[in-house]
Amino acid sequence: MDVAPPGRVIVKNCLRELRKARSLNQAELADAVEVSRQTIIAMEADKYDPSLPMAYRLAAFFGVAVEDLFFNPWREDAAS
Amino acid sequence: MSSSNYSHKLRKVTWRSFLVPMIVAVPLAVIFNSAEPGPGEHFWWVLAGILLVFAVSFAAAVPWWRTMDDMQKHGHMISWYWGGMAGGSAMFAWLVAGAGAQSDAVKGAVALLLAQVVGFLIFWAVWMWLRRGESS
Repeated sequence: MDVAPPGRVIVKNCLRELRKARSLNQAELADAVEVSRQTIIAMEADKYDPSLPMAYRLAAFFGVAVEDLFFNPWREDAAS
Repeated sequence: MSSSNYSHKLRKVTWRSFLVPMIVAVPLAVIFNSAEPGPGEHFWWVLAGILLVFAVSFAAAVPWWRTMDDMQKHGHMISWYWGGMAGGSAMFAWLVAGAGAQSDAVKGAVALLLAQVVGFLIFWAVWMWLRRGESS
């Protein structure tokens, strides 16, 4: 599928799960990747999609590919 | 791992971006106020003084802007654009209804609006120009 899903596109992610697996709280993760705690909270709630550089930085921090952290809604195998 | 490095840095540059312009603006305001210039009097001094305050404000805001993350910048841009437009439009309507379309207040508002449009167009053109690339 290479067309946009209907309605507002929401890019879901597993940021909360990865953060908890590292035993980090939101403030610690925010400080580590130099963003505000509110930004981490918004991303975990799927209420803010980060820029590509920020997505790459987060992915690098957790040692995963970007698409393993932020699920591509245009792919059929995207996590729901 | 410190849990407050980033927020501490952001708080510091935020305060600096607010206080540094004040260091220039407050003494100038006192001087201008004590001189009590009439309309157009000491035009160049007043213009230069105010532009100096704005220039310092812009310069002081650069580190603050660069320290903010994506979401904070996005929030500010959305708020300035839509919030500023909404607030300005409401005040403009209020002035036209209350003071009259030919009043000095409305003329001032129109001048401000036109200057904002010109500034917007210049920044938009430069922004687009800097992002040009090869088409194929």
